[in-house]
Amino acid sequence: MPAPLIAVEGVTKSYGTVRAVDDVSLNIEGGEFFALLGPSGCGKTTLMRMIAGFETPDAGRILLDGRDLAGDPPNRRPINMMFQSYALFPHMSVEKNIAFPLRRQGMGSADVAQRVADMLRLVQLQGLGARRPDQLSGGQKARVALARALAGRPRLLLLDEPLSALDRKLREETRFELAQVQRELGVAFLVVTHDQDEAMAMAQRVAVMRAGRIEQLGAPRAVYERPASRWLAAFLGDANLIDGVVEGSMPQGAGPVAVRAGETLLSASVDADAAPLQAGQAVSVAIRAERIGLSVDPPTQDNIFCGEVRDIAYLGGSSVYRIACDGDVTVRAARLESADAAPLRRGDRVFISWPSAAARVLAR
Amino acid sequence: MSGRRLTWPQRLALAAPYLWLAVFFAAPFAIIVRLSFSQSVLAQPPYAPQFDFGAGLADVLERVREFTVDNYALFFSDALYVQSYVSSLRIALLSTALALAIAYPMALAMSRAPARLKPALILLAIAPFWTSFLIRVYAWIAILKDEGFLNAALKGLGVIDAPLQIFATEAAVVIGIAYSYLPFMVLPIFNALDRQDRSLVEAALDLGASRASAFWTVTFPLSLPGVFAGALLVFIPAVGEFVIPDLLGGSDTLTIGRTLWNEFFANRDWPVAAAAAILLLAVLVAPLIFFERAQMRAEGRR
Repeated sequence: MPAPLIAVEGVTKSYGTVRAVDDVSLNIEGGEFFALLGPSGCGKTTLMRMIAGFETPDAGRILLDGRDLAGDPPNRRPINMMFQSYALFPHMSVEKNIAFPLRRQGMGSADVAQRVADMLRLVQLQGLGARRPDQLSGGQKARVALARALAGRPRLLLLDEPLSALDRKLREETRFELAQVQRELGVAFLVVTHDQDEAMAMAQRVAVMRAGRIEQLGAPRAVYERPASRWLAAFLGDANLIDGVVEGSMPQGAGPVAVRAGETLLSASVDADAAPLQAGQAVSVAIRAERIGLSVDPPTQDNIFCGEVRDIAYLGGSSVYRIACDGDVTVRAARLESADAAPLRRGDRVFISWPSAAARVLAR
Repeated sequence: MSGRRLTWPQRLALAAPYLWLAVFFAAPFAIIVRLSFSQSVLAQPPYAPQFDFGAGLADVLERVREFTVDNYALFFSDALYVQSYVSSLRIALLSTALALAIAYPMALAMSRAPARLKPALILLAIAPFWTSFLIRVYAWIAILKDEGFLNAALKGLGVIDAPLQIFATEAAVVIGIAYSYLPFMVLPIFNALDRQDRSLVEAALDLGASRASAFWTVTFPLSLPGVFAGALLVFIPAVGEFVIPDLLGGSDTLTIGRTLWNEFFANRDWPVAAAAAILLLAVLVAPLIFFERAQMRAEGRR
């Protein structure tokens, strides 16, 4: 089996007594779009800066094509970075910015001009080459930063919160363009972000980091639908977390599990590879808000409860309802708003329900 | 209707800077210009014409004819004056270059120091100002003279056999000026470097630049406004400097400051001294305009 493009092996980095990155291992394959996702301070930026060469790991190795990068300064690594602030050189035109890495490689003028033109076309900024960075909009700056980071044909592009400086609408557009550029060039991208939409929408694989460690690594869908911990379920998306205890003795392996939360008895599923549950064990049941069905008429599902609408957050295409169930459980349920569904009002009595498969038991 | 009426306090606030300029710049300047076209006389005050507005307009007009450009002509006819200008400019340029060479690395180190140390470093950079300027220049005499600290140290280290003749030369003046005005060079450069986004250098390194190449392609060009400001803050006072050349220079060290002093106080020729001052101003306006344009360019791209 060939060596992965980047292999991070047991990398640790401390600042003072704080372990910013704690024994992290992961592989990035050539041409892959990989995301490091986590809240601020989780160590994702430190890990990226170690891959770029700006920081040195205290322990562990970072390999490129199986070769240890230790001792290689940033300018000798075939890895480029798109900075969060874009870090465009304010005293150089767009063209000179993009030509910067090419000049450092000692490329001839004609080739430089050709490559710069190619890059400008790639990011759809033809005709803006003579501008200075301060004459560009935020979205244009992001494109120049991308073009400059890709101009030298790196093996891996690091993107540090690439879209955080853009407003919402532009962010969504640019997200698609980034993914398209990545597919077109086939360069491996490692994006570091705290924005889960960004990570989920673009990446083929996501590593969610927490307190210096990787909490879970996998395809976005797998991480979202089968979070490995209570923290992950809460971090990703809008999940209801209902604390309870396992009711009765449990068979080994997958299957529905009964969980008692106060007066309420819930049925939830558990992964086949999860640790076996004991009767009376404290657990949480995680249910995504969008998996909770909401109806005025009694539904036909596993978990059916009656409740009263307490709060409504209208979001345009959908609404989020806070529903106080009979018993002492309050859940959030998301519902797509369609013209033919009668709108619910505060105080309405409703039925809520979810399939057992949508509710996951997580150790507490 | 356009605009709103200004209240009196607002008008006063707007007028204040103009009043300041009028009282402390325009009026003295007008007096010096008038002096520079006057004639030197043995009287009190020692120049003519004097106007007596009580004697009628005809008398005033008659006296206006006494104005002359001879004072200016004198400068270009006497090689000594031209030499003193050339020598002043040379000394100022060398001092500015020396101050820049010392100040830039200082400012760079200050800007890269941990944030908690920076206020202390800035304080240290301006600490010499807390001692009298004269005393510090006198101290340089003790350092530079033939049997001074520098020569003693060099001799002790076996670098030289005979003492270096530095004191009472132009070199001593250059050293003295560079030393005295160093903080004026350090602070603007520090300011320019400190404001730079550190990720710019990281970006340069990341894109394949060596540390040296990142400095010359990114850090240095972006600090140029600070370099220009510092250079002017040193160069302009250095051209007209009187005290340092007088104390550290030799009798053959010509400077425009000394010429001015001699004309005013030794020769009591106020009109010639005034003309010298006006010419000095004209010489200084050139770098000022240059600086303005450099600033405008820097502003234009921000």
